[in-house]
Amino acid sequence: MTPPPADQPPSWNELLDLVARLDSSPYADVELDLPGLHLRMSTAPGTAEGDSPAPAPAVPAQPPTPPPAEEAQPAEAGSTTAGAQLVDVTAPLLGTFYRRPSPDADPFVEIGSEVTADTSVGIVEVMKMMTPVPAGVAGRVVEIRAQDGEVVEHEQVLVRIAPEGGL
Amino acid sequence: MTRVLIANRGEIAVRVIAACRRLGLSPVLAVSAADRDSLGARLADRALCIGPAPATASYLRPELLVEAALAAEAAVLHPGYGFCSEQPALAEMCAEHGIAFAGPRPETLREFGDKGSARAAAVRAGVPVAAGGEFTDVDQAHEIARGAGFPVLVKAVHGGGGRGIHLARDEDELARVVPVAASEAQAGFGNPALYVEQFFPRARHVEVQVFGDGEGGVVVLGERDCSVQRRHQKLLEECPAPGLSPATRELLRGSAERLAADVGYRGAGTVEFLVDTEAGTDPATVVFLEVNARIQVEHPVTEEAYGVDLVAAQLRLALGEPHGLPEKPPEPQGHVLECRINAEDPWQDFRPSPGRIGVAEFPRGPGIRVDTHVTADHLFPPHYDSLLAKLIVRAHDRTAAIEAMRGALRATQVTGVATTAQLHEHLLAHPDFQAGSVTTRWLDATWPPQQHRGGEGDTA
Repeated sequence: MTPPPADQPPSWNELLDLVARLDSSPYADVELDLPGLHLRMSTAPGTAEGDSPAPAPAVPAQPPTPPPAEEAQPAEAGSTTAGAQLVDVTAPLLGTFYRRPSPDADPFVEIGSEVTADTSVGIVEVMKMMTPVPAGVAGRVVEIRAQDGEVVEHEQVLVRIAPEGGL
Repeated sequence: MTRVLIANRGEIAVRVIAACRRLGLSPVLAVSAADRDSLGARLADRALCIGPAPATASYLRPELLVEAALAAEAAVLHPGYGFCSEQPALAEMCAEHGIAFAGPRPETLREFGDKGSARAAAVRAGVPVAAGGEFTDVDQAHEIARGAGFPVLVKAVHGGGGRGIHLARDEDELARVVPVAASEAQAGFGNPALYVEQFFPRARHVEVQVFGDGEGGVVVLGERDCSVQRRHQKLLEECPAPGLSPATRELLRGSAERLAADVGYRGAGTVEFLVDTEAGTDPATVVFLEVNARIQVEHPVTEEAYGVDLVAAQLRLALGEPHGLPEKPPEPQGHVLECRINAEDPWQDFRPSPGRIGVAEFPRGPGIRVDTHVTADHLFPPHYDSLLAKLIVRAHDRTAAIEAMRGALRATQVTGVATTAQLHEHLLAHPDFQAGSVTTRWLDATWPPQQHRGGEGDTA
């Protein structure tokens, strides 16, 4: 079971290296297809997502198999994706994710919203019981991964945040 | 395809998945974060992670289980055993959301979940109960105890699981334990109500498997003997129960059938009894203990003895189909044993032994069944109970079944965690067990062996 290296997805460290190089390069937008991985980067907030309501997750298949470094952190506090310096805010339990406090209200956050650790990024509803999901970290929302009204699983990534002083 | 949400984990999740496959149903498993990579999660068509590892935040939350069933668009929820399986709240929530609960009606769960109302239901159905009754003050306790005869047990009316039980050998001891038991009952079960009943120091635990159609029709599938227990935890079970007279068997089966029919019992259930053979009467003294309103851990011994699939029958009934069990099951030919292989160290007071499993080799061959969720390299989590595998063997008679089980245990190899396999080898080699009528207190007197040579000859 040792396929040639060319067929393997890049390792985490290789990926970090790649991101760092692209980051210091003059490209504003980058989109790459690698074995087992689709990478999309942008220096302009929001543009990588465009207006498409459901951005294709960068990693296909089941929700999160988070990198081992994240394991120790409580789900609500979010988990730091070390090199990329984005924080995943994940669902504390299975339920229906709502981006707004009520159907006609504005969303809790949008891409580009500035948040504090206590800012709610959404709520997860289980049998009429509402559990607010705090950002867990101060920063800026750069990605919204779960749609309004979607059933989310425990530890599924809801939004991603670039922490203050991070990037 | 009709979907079934399995609201449980471990070997029973794997067992329910097998029943789903048999019936052409699509199994969806609710898992905690600790069970994402479990065998059940791999075998199911889909696994939904409902919450973090601690059961209080996942498997013990009815609302998460029902939410998962709705997310999966499941027609049926199977609760397994333990966790929420006997929680009326789960059964009710399923009903509210149009999901069929593969278990008894909520009111049945409520009635049998309370020792007082369970005992009353037994009395109504003409089922023998231990002499005794509820009391409100110490004087009344003494009066009832004198009527029942010492020794007596003082139990919490709302208790369960072998907790909050006190033995009183005489009047002085009774006066001492009543206030202790009352405060324990208040602290443990939120209600100080107590009752006192006759104690049988040398009794066997024998239970009857029933299956009700929900409309008063009841199939009785014989008895299991589960007397090999450590502190009320069963370790080894067999079917049929050895050495009971036809009259005792008839008393047990008739009692269980009447009770189940009386409440219009729906699905699989177990009526537990104590059988006291001391007095030498025929039938023996039989008293009602409780009803387990769910599939039980030890159901495979009945399945193997009678050639039935109880879990498939539960699912069929929940889907509104006939359960498919024989109305009058033929008496089993042969004998079936089950050994619970737990991740516990029997040499260290049964201390739980979670960890990374190395090798996991189980026996194969005629008459051998292994129900397990454990495979090589599995991380056995510390958050839940310690059941690792159930070895079930069937042979033409009890002696042959004991021999077959000893062989099966020798062929079992699990590394990385301590297991109870060695304890079982010791028990099966013991002349008391081979003689076939040990009591519920036998194991505590037998293990650990006097000399650590684990052979015959070391009787207590």
